[in-house]
Amino acid sequence: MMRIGNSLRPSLRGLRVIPISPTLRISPHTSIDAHHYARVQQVALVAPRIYSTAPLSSKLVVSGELSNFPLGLSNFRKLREFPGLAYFDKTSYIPVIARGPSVQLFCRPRRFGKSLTISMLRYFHGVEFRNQYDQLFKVCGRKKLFAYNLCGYITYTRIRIST
Amino acid sequence: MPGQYLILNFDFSQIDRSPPIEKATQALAQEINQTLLQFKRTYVDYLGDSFALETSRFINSNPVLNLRILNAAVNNALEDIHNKSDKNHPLFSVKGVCLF
Repeated sequence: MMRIGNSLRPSLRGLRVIPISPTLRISPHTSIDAHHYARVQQVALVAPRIYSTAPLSSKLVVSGELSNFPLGLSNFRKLREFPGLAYFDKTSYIPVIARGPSVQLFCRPRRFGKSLTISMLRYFHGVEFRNQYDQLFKVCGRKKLFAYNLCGYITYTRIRIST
Repeated sequence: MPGQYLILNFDFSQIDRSPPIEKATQALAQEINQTLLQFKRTYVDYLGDSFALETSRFINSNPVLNLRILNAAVNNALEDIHNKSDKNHPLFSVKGVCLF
């Protein structure tokens, strides 16, 4: 009989709560000895995820009262303008990306959020959107990102074209 | 600091990549040219008449050359702005083109 664990338990670090992985209950009528049965009574089908790769600063952002999670909407400004849409704030990655190489390639599966991230970067870096910075980014909880966080980003002398 | 780049945003996902390859190549060239023209329309008011003149030499059949022309025109325009030390110019703090 398969039992899906639906309770929560604190992680080892005690900072966050993570879901228990699904478990497989071994039938007592099998020919396993009692000691072995007690030890493997519940076998994890999926290893519990103790550590998360998401930074602590990453958080869910909702404009107003939560309406839904938009699918297929990759325009950062529309996401910010329409109330009730929830999304994961990735603005904390802007200085991380800026400190990286001048040319970067992101290979991620569909629906990962690549287009939305690019749209966010476009609205952040584009000179034509300079006046909209407070409107678009202030509610993301970001302090202003200063120039020293963005040193060495793509400059107009570093674009090279090869045929 | 936000707002320090001119954005050149290519979207190659819209290109029809089905064979024959000549057709896909033509679609790729059209997409590049269209993006370069959109960049020109967005920033020509910022970059000035010299930029508009230099980018008027676009050739539809050679998108790579058009990209070279655009890049050189932006470089020249930004160098002029920086050399004049006009801190009130909206592009004075702009570092260059950010390519997506």
